[in-house]
Amino acid sequence: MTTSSRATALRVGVAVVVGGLLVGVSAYAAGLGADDQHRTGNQLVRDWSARTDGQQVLGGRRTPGVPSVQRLRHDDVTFTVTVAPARPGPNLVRVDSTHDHGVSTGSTTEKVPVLVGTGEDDLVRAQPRPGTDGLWAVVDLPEGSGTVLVTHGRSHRLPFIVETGTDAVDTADWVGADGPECVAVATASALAAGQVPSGCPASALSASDAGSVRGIVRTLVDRGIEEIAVEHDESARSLAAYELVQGLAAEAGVRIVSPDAAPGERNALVVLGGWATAARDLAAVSSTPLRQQPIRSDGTWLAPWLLSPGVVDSTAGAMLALDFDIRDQGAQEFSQTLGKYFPGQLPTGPAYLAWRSVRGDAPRPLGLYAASRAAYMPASSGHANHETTVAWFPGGTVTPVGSLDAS
Amino acid sequence: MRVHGETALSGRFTSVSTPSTAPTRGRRLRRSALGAALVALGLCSLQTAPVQAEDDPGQPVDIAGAGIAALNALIQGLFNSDIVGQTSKVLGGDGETYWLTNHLRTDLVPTTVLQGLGLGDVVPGLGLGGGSAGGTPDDGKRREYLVVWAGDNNVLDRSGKQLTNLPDVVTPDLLGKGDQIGPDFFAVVDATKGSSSYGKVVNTVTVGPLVENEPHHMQYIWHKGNNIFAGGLFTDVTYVLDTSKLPELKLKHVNLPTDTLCGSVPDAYWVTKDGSAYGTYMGGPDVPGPCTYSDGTTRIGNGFAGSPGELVRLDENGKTVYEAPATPETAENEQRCDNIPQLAAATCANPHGIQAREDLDTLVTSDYNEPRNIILNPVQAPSSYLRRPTVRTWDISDQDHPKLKAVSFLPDGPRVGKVAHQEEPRAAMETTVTNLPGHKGAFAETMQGGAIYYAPDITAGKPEWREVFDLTTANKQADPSRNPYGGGSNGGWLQTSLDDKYLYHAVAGRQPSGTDQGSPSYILKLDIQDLLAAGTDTACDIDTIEETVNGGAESDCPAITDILPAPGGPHWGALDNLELGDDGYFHETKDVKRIAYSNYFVARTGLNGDHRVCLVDVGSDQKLTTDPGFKDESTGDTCIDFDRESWPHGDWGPAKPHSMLFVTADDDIK
Repeated sequence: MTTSSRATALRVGVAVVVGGLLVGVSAYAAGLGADDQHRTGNQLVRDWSARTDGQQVLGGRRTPGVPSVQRLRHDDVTFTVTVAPARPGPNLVRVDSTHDHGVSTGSTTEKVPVLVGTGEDDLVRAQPRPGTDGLWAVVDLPEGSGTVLVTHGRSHRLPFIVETGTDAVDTADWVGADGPECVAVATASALAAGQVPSGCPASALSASDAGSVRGIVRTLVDRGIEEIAVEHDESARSLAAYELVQGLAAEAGVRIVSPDAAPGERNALVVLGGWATAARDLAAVSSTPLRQQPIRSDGTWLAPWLLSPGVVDSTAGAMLALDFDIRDQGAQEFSQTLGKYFPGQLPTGPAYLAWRSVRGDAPRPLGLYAASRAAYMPASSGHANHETTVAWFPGGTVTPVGSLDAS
Repeated sequence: MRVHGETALSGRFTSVSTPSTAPTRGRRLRRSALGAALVALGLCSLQTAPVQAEDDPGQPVDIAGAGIAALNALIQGLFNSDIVGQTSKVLGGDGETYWLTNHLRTDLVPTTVLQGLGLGDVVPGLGLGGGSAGGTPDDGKRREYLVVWAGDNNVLDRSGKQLTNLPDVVTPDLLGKGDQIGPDFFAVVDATKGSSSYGKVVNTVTVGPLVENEPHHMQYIWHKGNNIFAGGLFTDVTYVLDTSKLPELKLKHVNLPTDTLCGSVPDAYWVTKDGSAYGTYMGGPDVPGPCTYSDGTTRIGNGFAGSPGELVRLDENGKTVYEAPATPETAENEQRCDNIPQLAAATCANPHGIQAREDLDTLVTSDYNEPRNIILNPVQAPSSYLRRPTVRTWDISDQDHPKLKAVSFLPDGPRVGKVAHQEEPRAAMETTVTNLPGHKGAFAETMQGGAIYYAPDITAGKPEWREVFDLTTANKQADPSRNPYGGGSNGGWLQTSLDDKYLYHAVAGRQPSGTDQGSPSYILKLDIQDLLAAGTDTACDIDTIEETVNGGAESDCPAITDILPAPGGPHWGALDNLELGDDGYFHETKDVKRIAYSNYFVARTGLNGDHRVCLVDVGSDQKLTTDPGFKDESTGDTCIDFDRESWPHGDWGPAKPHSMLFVTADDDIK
């Protein structure tokens, strides 16, 4: 074959390939609805990639209304992306990455940010949220399906398709301050092979949570408390819990005071907000110089939904009333399952309870538990590979210290 | 009452699916025999007294009788004919059942021993196992064991470097057995020199139902007739074990968090001559706020794993007799004592080390730190002043009513610490008493301060503590190539020899960090004879920077006898106070010729260790030599490695050995 013949053959070959791609993309586009056909070619390619680039999908299917949990390995990094509630409209995205990217800029190393969006025009930085782990962002997804993009460096875009269906629901609770708890609960339900709850925990005070709050207040009253400082937020659950505490305190002749007030002689802090507000409010105190922190004789007591390492870490030791023990077999299965499949996600009380509900395990009688870090020695370098943890509460423990009657 | 796990067959996790490599044919035979055995066991169970809620909590309620024991052995043996054992159970004060399950290796334990346990006649008669079933030939040697309290090492790779693929199908069985949390256990290691199973783990005794106890310390030394007292840091539980029938262990009692309301985080124990014990509870009351102690006084604490800790008197079975406050009713202000959250009355009372001189009616405890507030990153450590500089002496003239007698703040030394908590007095982890009637002194060491202190008279109303040795001196000798700075050297175990001639100290070393090359790890042996001979006229005092490097200038200062390099981070140790006599029995001795040490602290702190347990011979020249005959049965390397895949109780993987004791069966000691 002559040189010119070879060049011609090469040009023809390339044309065939490109033509094939265009045909394939067109066929894909033809299979989409009319609105989709207005998408750009890039978007189509991304959608295609989002389905075919080796994304792992929890449960094997993308189902509207079921949190979409997907995983993709790119270069040497694995991204796990959770999108919930997987409905049209604003959705909360959780990103877990296996790698902290370091980019040297002179003498400092910065982490490469993770951006999330549906296109180049709406990429936002995924941020940590107080009280929980992972990185979070909100994306707006269309009906039918949408592609969530997660950036990896300047030029790489990892696509994850999410089937959203056509049922419009109010997703405000999912993308608000209590969204991470909602996502954790939904994911745990899916992981337990159960049905995902349609609502979010912070939308109402459940009977069992009310029992726990009641138990806390009764315990404090029995121990001779004179005033309770109450932290709460504006969620329906928190407001209902606050009202409950107020009523019980009034019955017992115990004052309700603001967390900002100087504590009296027998004072305890009861925290009723969600993960984010609780962690933020507690950290605001614990980060002040020690001598400036209030002295609360009877410590800090958390609502049961606040058993999250991110919250407990925001204060030095806390009490909770729980109807499970982290060392129960079910709780261990849950934490080990998370550890196996989602090592970046620490177990939390609400997520476990969702799991337990699906599995049908019975609750324990309500008991008092002390949650605290218990490391005993400062870390030193070189031993991370040998690290072991209390599976449920790394670096700490949640220990039963008594029973209580919540009736 | 809820029973965790199932029957006396097994612990909570293994059920009847103990891992086995038996061939298929054998498996079929065993299934048939299992069916028959289960029927038999069921019949036997009906005849066994059931656990009643009204049974006295803490008393053994179901130590398997001979029939049950035989069937236990049979069941356990069906899937591994080399493993037999019994389970003992007790009812806890919370109404739950707690258990201990033995997993004895019949290929390592003499037949006569198995027979003595009621197990020897069962296995051979079944003809189920391989040739090793039925015990080893009796070599006529009585056995001494090293009992090691070890935690399952539930290693979770949270870096995600080896992420498991998301399951395409979500089922209720996403976890394999290998993903489950394994039980904590006592490893019973043959420590009998010359025995055919020297260095082998002849039994692992799993505890249940609680997992992730974070096994910590037992008592420092075992004497004939003593039970073992073993603590779990995270569960706040003290397990009390009967050792009379070693290599088998039996559970006598579990002391729960609710049994010691005014303290938490049990650290160590001292057993008195009557078999009762004292325990140091490092952390504050279970519930923050006021707690009323056994003496009727009240202190306000900041809660579980906070402050103030306490001293607990336990009876010989582990029941709480008395809770004594470790902090006085007034604030402790001589040096800075931080508490997080703050307390109205600051306190440094977080007792960790404990030893006693009953003949002097005095007990000594050393305060280490407020447990929960040592955060994992030393750069962001909330306060250097959580590491305690205090030692406490107690009046134990009425042993069941101990009283705090004096709080001593260890004096600062001449060395300037790189950080405040590396000043000499900080983090007084361990204390050890002298032993002989003519001596009244005691020592204390500081894990972060890197110093050893001595008080010549602990009976004094205000014992006078002085620094007598700086680890800078030992670091320099151990590794002249590095900066010998002794702060942060992570010294742990401290123990006088029983003849009061020497002082042993395990030093894990400081990890390299940045420009700091770290410090070496070793077992230190000091000659303290001149120091003790000086009585209360002690001259030794490390008060110049030169003395921190070169050793004390005074003639009675301790001198280095030997430094044994101990790579792997030694934290704890034990003296072998048992000696095989010409009569073939063991006898207690003050002439200690062997010690043990372990390389593990508390993993999550970052100071982990390489999980090995070593034996060290003490030569006639008092030099220390690692015993090359004490080898790992799998690798053949010196020292036994707890990072192994298989144990008698199953393939649960690596474990963390924290503390150990030399022990023997009642029948083998006189």
